[in-house]
Amino acid sequence: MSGRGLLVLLFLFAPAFAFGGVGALALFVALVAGGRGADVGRVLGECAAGAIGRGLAGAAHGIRLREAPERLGRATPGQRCGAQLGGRFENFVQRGGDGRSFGKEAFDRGPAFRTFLPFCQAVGQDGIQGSDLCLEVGQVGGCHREAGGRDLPVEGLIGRGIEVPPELAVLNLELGPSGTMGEAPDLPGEVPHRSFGIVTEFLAHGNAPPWRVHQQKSLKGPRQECFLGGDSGNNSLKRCICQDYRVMRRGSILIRMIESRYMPEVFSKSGKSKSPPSTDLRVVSEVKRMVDEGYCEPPWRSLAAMPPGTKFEAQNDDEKVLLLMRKHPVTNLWWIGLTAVLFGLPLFWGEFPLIASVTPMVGLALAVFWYLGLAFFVIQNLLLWFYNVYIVTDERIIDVDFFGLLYKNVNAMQIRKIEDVNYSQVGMFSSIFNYGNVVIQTAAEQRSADRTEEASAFTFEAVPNPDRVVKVIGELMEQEEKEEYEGRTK
Amino acid sequence: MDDILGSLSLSLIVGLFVKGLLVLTTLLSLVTVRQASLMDKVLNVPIGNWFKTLAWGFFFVSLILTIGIVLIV
Repeated sequence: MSGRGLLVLLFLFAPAFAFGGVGALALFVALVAGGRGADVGRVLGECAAGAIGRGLAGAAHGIRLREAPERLGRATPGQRCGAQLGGRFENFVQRGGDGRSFGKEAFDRGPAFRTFLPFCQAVGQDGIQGSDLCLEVGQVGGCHREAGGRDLPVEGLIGRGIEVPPELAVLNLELGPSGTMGEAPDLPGEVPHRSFGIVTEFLAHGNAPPWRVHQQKSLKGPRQECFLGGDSGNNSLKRCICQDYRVMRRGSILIRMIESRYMPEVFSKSGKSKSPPSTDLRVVSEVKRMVDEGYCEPPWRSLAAMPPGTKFEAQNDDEKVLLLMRKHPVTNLWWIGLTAVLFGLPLFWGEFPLIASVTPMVGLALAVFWYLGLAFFVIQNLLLWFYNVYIVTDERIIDVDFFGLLYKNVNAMQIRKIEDVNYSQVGMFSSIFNYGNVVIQTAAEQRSADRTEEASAFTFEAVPNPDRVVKVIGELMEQEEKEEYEGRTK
Repeated sequence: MDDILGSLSLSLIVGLFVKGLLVLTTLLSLVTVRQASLMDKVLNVPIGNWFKTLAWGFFFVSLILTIGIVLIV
């Protein structure tokens, strides 16, 4: 082979080598992704906060893991009533505080099955054994005065990641007969700092009650999939508490968190004293609707409302992620298609004389490199798609852009600095799949400082349902203005 | 000089070329590991660990294959 031929070979294939990828690994990646995705989706997709409500309904069981009287303030741990109403559950834990009243009306709504089982406030240094986990499940449905009328710090019911070790799953939850509570032994292990949570499901495990599995499989549709305890026919309780829960693994206790902002409305009529709404209790109706429609799961969806367990860099303590967006999956078609083509290209290498003339071992090395490069290409695009996100919180909007391996650009802006929001949908695909660009303009508008050449530093590119995104931001702007007017701006 | 040039073959050159690129790919996969970690730090999501695992898996596969190719071919 002449030197010129070699040069031609190198020039022809070097770019392909540089950007190509390798199939075996890509296939492996795809398989792994599919398997894990299915698994995670199976578990996380069961956004079924109502399971316990309905599941416990009629079960006439009570569970109490541990009580912490000193943490409960005016509440009386373990106090319950309504056992005679068997089938109606009110699971609650109360702690002292200056929160909203958890009053009579909240309980008068029965026969609602409320599943209201928060943990005590994160005292967590000493873990569960330090009695910060005060978790009760008892029948108090229809019990007004006994259970109601005590202050419940609703504001404190903020969903954070609750990490419950798998050991919890092997607790011998002693299910007492109707109207009684079983005592569980001390919980083993250390549990990190935690906030409130709501336990809504117990996966079948060991002595766990059989209703769990049944409910898990029977729940479908957003209405059943996430709600605060459900309403058993009357639609008085519509708040969806499909937030911030973690599934530890099969056989463990499924912890679902509760978002504070949704609580006050549920129990808003119950306050003896109404505290003025604060900025951290912003309720965006559009976001709630989206949550009700199941937009919270799974975590890789391109438009997630109140995505559970999602945090970002530089997030404030009391800042809540309302929307998490990334580009519509359709925008990935180009590299998926290219990968498919490149994946099969080695089959035709024999048609190229230069490649055909190399020894089999070198051909093998070439193929290995080809597929490794292809895998690299796939992983890069997957990462860039997944982590190039746009975040709307109750305080700010954040645009996170990654470019290649070593460049990132993060823009953040307060809601109050937004001047205008609009969106555009251009092209056939965007119309068919309903995605578009949301452009957020500020007073001091400038082009993006990054490499995107966007119309604004805050352009949410190709996000699904741009109209709803605009609506959410619009609502936030309105609330911001209102709070500013009332002097309650943070 | 002529002997050296005469001993060069297409397979040899392509083999060297591929080995170099494999090493480069392995290095890039290591960068990807770091990148996934940083991305997860910027945006912490429940399945972030899965991406990190994926990146590490890719790195190890790349490393093993590269070592194999460099030693064998």
